[in-house]
Amino acid sequence: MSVVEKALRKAREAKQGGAEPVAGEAAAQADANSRPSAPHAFAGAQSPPIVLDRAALRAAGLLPPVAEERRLSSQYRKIKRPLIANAIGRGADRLPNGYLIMLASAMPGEGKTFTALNLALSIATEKDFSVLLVDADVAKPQLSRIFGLEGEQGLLDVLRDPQLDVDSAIRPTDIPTLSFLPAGKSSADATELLASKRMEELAQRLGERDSHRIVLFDTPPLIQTTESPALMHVAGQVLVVVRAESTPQPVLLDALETLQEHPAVSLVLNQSMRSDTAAYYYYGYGEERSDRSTAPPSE
Amino acid sequence: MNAPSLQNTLEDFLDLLRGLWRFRWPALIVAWCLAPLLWIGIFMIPNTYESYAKVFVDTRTALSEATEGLSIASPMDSEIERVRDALLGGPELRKVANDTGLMAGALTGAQQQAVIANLRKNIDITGNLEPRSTMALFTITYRDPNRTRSLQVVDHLLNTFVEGTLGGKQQGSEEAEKFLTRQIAAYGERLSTSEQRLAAFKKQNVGLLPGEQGDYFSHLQTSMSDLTKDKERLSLELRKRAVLSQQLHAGQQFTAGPGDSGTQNPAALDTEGQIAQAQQKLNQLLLKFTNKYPDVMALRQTLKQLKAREAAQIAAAKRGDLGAAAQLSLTANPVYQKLQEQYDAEGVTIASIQQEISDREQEIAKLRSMISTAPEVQAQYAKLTRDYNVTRTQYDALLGRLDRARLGQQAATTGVVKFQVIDPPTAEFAPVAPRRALLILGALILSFAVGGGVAYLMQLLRPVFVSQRQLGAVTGLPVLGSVSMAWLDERRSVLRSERRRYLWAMAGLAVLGLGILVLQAHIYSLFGGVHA
Repeated sequence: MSVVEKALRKAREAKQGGAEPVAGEAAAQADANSRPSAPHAFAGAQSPPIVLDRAALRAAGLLPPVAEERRLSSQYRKIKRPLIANAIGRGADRLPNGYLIMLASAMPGEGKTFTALNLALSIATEKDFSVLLVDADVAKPQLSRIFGLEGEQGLLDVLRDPQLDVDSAIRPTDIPTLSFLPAGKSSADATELLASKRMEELAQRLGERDSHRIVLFDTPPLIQTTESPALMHVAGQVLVVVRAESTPQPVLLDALETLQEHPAVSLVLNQSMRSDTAAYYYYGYGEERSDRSTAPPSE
Repeated sequence: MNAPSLQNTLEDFLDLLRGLWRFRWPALIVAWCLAPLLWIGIFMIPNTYESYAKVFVDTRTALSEATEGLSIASPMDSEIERVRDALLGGPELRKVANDTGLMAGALTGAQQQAVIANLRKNIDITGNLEPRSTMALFTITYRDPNRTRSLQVVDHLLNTFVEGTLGGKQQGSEEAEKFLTRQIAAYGERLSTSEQRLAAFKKQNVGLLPGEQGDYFSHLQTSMSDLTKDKERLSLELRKRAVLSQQLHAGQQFTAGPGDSGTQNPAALDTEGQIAQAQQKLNQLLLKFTNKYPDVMALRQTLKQLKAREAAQIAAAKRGDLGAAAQLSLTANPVYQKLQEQYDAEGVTIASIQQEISDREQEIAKLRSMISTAPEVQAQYAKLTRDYNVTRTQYDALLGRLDRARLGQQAATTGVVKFQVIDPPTAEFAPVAPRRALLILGALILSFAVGGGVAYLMQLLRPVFVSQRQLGAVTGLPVLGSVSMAWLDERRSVLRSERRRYLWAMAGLAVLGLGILVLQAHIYSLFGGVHA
C-alpha cells in the first residue's frame, strides 16, 4: 500500500465517505470549499483544505508512478525513521530543533521537492505525528504552483508582515496530518526575507507549536542561492538530496562546505538507478512486518 | 570478513560500469571516429605474398658406398650451411635483386644496400636437418608485396641452391683432376728420361750389368767356383777312364790266356754246347709241333747261325789264328762290348769338360781384368734403377688417383647429392600479410576499448555518485537511504528509445566493421590500385 493511498484513505475516512478527489485544480478547490468544516490537525480553519490530486502530481513528476509506489514508499519509510528518531526521539537521540528538517540539494533539479513531498506523505501516515511542509524555495515555488497556491498568502508574506499570523497562511490538506505553507507572493527581497532574523523566529515558532509536528522546508539549491545558510541555523536536521549519477562530486562537496558547521547533516541518494533488488526485498520485508506489528490500527 | 569485501568489490565494479554508462555517447562517438580511421589505415598496408619451394636433398645413394673413402663425400649439414651462406651472401642477393627488378629504384649504394638487406630479411631458408641423416627437406620462403616477384625470387634462389650444391662439388673435383693431370704429365716426363738414361747405360755397359746371375762379384765368384767344380769333375772323369782302360786290357789277356795254354777252345765248346742245347730243344718241340710252328722255325734259324759260327771258329782254329778266334769270341762278349762303350763315352766327357774349363778360365780372366771399373758401373746402375723405380711408383699412384677422382666425379653427377624439387616455387593467391580480417576486427574492438577508456577518463574527471555506500564514503556523512529512480512512463519510453538508438548506433559500427571484414578483398582492390 502506497503512502499516498494510505494518506488518501485516511482523508476519505475523515471526510466520512465523501466524494472522490476530482482531478483538476478548480474541482479540487470547489471540493475543498464545499467542506470547509473538514477536521484538520492544526491548520487554520479559515483556509480551504488542499486536495492532493494524485494524477496531477504524478503527471508533474512529484509522485512516483503507480508501478513504483510500493518500492519508493518502502524506501522513504526507511529514510524517515532516523529523521523522526532525531526529531522526537528519546534521550540522547533527540536533537535540538530536530523537528525542523531542512531539505537541501547542491544543484537545482536533484529531486528536492519530490523528496519533500514524498517524505511528508510518508511521515503523515504516522499516527503520532503531523507534518507541515513549507515551500521555502521562493525562487521556484514548485509545490505552491502545483497546489495552485502561487501568489497566495504564504511564507514570504508572513515574513514581510510581522502582523500577519503564520497560522492564517498555513493550508490544511485532505490528509489531516499534513498541512502546507505556500511560498507566498514573490518579491525582489525574497532572499533577504528568508535570511532574516524573523525567518529564524518563525521556524522556531512553527516547531514549538506542537511537539509532535515535524516541519519540512523545501529550500533552494545550496550553491545557487544564499537563503539556505540562514535557514540552516534554525533547522535541527539537514537532509541533502543527491541525485545519483548526476550531481558532480566536487559540486556536492562544495555545497557541503557551507553546511560544515551544522551538527546533523545527512544525505539521501535520489533517483538511484541501481537495481539493488535483493537489498530492497530484504529490508522491505522486515520493514513491512515491523510496520504492521507496531501500527495495526492504521489498517 | 571476506564476503563483504568481495561484495564491495563487486559493487564497486558495478558502480564503475554505471559511471561508464553515463558517458556512453561520447564513448560511442570516439569509437565511431576511430574505427574508420583504423580501417582506412589497415587498407593502406600493402599486401604481402609469400612464395615457397621445397627441395628434398639426399646424399645417400648406391654410389655413396663406392665413393666412401674418396675426398668428395662431405658432411651434409656443412654442405647445406655453405649453400645457405652462399645464397644469402651479398653478391648472390644482388644478382637476385637485379634479375627480379628489385634494384630498379635503388640508385645509390646505400639504397642498394637497403634493398639487399630487406631481401635477406624476407628470405627464409629452413631445413629439417637431422644430425646424422643424409636426407633433408629444405624450404625456401620469400615474402614480397608483389606475388609474381616473390615467385621469381624463390625460383632464382632455388636454382642457385641446386646449382650451388652440385656446382661447388664439381668445381672442387675438377680442380683435383687438373692437379693430378699436371702431376702425371710431370712424372711421365721424368719417368721417360730416367727410362732413356737407364737404357743408354745398359747399352754402354752391356756385360757388366748384373743379369740373372747377379752382380759382378757374385758373377766372378760363381765362375771361379764353377771352374773348381769342373776341374774336380775332370780329374774324376780321368780316373774313371784310367780304370776302364785297365779293365779293357785285362779282358784281352784273360781271353788270350786259355787259348795259349789248352787245345780246347772254350769258345768252340761253348758254341757246341749251345748247338746241342738248341738241337735238344728243337727235338722236344718237334714232338709236339710241326715244322711250321713259329718256335720251331725260330729255333732252326738260331741253330743255323750257331752252326755257322762254330764252323768259322773251327776254321780259325785250324789256321792257328787263336787271337782272331779269341777276338771273335771276345767281340761277341757283351761285357767287353759295354766296357768299350763306356770307355769311348768317357773320352767325349773329358774332352767337353776340358773345353768348359778353358772357357771359364777365359771368362775369369776377363772379369779379373775389369775388376777396377765394375763396381762403379754397378753402383751407377743401381742408382739409375732406383730412380726409375721411384718415379715409376709415383707415376702409377698418380694414375690410380686420377682414375678414382674421375670415378668420384661421375658419382657426383649421377647423384651422390640427389635433389628433388618437391614443391616448385608456389605462392598463394591470398596474401599472407597483413591479416586484414583480424586487424579489422581488432580495430573494431580497439575502437570500442578506446571509447570505453574515454568514458572512463571522463568519469574520472567528472565523478558522480552512484551508490549509497560510495556517497557515504566520499562525503563522510550518514546516508539515510537511497530512493530509486521513479520512472514516468513517457520518460521511461524516452529512455528506452534512447537506449535503442544507442544500441543501434553501436550495432551499426559493429555491422559496418563486419561488413568491411567480409568485403575486405574487394575494398582492398579499390585501395590496391594505388599500390600496384
